[in-house]
Amino acid sequence: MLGASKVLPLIEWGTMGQILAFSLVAGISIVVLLTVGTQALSHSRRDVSAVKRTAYLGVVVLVAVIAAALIAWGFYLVIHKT
Amino acid sequence: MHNSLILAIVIVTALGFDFTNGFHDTANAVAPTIATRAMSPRLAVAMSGALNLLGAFLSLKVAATIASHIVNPSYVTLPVIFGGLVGAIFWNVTTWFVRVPSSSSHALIGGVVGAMLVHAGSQAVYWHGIISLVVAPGIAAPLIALLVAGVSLSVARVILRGADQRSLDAGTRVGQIGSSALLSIAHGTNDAQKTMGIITLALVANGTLSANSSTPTWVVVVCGLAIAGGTYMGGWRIIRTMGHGVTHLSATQGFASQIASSAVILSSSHFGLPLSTTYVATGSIVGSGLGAPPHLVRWRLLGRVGTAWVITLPAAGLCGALAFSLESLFSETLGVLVTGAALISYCAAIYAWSRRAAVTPDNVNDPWEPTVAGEESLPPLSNEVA
Repeated sequence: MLGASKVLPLIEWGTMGQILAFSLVAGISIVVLLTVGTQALSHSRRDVSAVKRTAYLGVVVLVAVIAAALIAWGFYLVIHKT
Repeated sequence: MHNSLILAIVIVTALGFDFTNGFHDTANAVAPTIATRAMSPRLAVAMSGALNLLGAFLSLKVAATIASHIVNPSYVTLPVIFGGLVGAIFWNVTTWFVRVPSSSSHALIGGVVGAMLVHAGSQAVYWHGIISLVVAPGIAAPLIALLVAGVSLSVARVILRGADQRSLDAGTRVGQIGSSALLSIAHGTNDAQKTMGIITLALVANGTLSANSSTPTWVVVVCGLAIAGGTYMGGWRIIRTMGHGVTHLSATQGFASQIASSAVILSSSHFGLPLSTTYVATGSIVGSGLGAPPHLVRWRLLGRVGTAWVITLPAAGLCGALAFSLESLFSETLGVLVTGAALISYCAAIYAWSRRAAVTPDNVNDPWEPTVAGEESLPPLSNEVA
């Protein structure tokens, strides 16, 4: 018993399912994002065409910006949801 | 009832628990980062310690949760809090010594519940809260993390096929350092608050603060410093177990496990059901071990870890109950002093014993030597990056 004001269900199946689904989507998305950035960095070092190298570097910069934004969002979650 | 001496001892003991919490849980944020050499050991723990300190200042929303959802606050007394802290520290130091990652939060909850059971009986404990907020999430956390890490690693391996080593090192390093930073700050925010809650509860129980008072600033500062100091100490024994004992971690595996841990911890924060960082981090490492060839983990070692997880609550509870019973043999002040002296003696003995085979920043990445009879020998890590 947790008191009259708030009674929690014994096992919060719904919340756990949401955590699993959200974690899977977030984890895979971040891994895809960073691995695409890694591949782009790899190509930018190997490709002989200056245009392609610039394009790949553009992808690297974009991924870096998104990664920084994700970290900032993570900090926001930690601060406001914990 | 005012008793400044007992209050001071309880506060110092709470900070001692906070310190053990820091070094016990350092591995959760940095073990894969150190094992894959994305960061040097000393730099990794320095970063983690600084971010734990920062995290302690960021939020005070759950500072009193541990008391209000687990035990009836009206039964709480200073000796009960002290007994609970002694039980938690005893269990944390013991599991650190045997190199097993276990939840410091569960140890604290177990200790407080054990002391409370001796003090006021079963009616003072919210069993429903223990199952819904501690036991069920404790079972779900490693399973969720294992699945997320395994799937993420499989995706990463497909995409990274053919990437050159330099780029791979750079990409995985960014991912691991960023996720280590997030986990460290989440740990500081989450776990430092528990000690803040305990000290605030002690101040209220002693009549120093009124029941609805907020956490004093000095409590936030000292708790932040204690957990940061503990984190900086490193907890190298457990870092070694998580980084090298469970499985061989390649750069890609370390990367996937760290990202999975961050995703699960932040998701659980988002949905308001915080999960143990220890269980999540261990589950992620197991998922990374199983998600890539040769799909091997040391099951015997994991069996030992799983056993520790199962017995953490009852064992810390037993320690808390014994500590409170020892206190009760004497007058209130003398009981606290005697129990405190026994705890200090135990911690000193364990520390001295641990120095016989010390794990330090200099040898934390040495090849893993089996510590359990019959433990599996894993084949050496392939040079293949993904």
